[in-house]
Amino acid sequence: MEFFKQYLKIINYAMIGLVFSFACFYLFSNIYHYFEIRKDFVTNFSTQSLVLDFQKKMSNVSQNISNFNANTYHGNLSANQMQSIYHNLESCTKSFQNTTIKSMMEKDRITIIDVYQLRESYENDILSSCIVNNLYWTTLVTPETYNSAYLLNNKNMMQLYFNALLDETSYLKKDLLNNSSYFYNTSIASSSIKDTTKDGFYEVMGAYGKAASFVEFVSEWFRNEVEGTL
Amino acid sequence: MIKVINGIFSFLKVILLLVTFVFTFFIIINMYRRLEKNVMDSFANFIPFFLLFTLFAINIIFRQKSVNNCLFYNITCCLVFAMLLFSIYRTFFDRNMVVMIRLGYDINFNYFADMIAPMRAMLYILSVSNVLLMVEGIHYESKKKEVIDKTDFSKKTIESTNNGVNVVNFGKSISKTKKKRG
Repeated sequence: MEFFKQYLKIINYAMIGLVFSFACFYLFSNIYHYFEIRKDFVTNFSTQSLVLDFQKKMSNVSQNISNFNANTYHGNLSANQMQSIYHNLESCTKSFQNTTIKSMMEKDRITIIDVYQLRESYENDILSSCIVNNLYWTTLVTPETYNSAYLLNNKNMMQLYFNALLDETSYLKKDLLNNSSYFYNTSIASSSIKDTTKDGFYEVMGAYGKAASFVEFVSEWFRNEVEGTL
Repeated sequence: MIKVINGIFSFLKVILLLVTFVFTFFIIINMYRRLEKNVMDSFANFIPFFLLFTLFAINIIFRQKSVNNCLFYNITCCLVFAMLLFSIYRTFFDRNMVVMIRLGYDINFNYFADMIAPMRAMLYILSVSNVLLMVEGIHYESKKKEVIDKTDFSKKTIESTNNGVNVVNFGKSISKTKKKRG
């Protein structure tokens, strides 16, 4: 009986020890994760080169479309078509001045939530409102619809660029969502959540820049069309 | 000192169990409602809580020293509940988790769902350990032993002499049952 009792005691203490170690593991990994996701990336948003870059592009767009006057336009396209394109580009400029970007302007620290919100704004305001709603027509240009050799010649390039913009931040979305599990899956490229915050910020702002380049490209064609320099 | 610490942990584990149960119940019920699943299916998650609570009640009512005096067990219980409470705190208040923002609820069900399986496993193991400690405690039971407690000197008789020392018989002694720890 004493023999049985001793074994029972060993098994019991082993079980309690197992629970003790599991509880310690979960507690410490949670505490570590709690502090890890609070790490931020110190940068002044309004003076960031990527931010300044896309803002400059958007001011170029505003400048390029400002000379248009439907009454004085006499080009290859109809005045109605040009008026419609003008509104598309104007709408795009407003999309780039969305509330998320405005709220970020005063920040000097970027957290992973900020990166997530920038990405969401890129998807909703830039891709959906601007690129897809207002500039998708650039990929559907035919000689019958738009009498513009320049647009027709660049149609395939614009289609490729368009597709690239749509997939630009899809991997980032999955990566950001990973931060919500304490089994945070680090990769070779980003070894910590802080790295992801930094990389994610550069990636999403890079995507903003690329989208702005696309809008700028279309606006430059628009300006040339208005000025009759094509 | 150890007795005091043990007493604190022994008391704390019951309180923490109740607090943890209340919050876990709230989160899991809301989780099932959100998923439009049958709430009755969620009760499997609460069985270890009921089991452990029943065992704690037995420990307290029958004053089982083998369990109540086991410092390691009490500390482990408190650690498990502290870990669960920390997870519950993060489920409600940790706004730095992207899923919390994405889901748009005030409760991060996605994060807490990860905790349910380890929680159940740990609570079940603690219940089994409690039962085993109780089984160990059976050997803890008092053994009855006849001990002479009081002697009636009035019935004293000298029976013989051994090397000059009197061998005295006190007659029928008054005995009393006394507990002795084995």
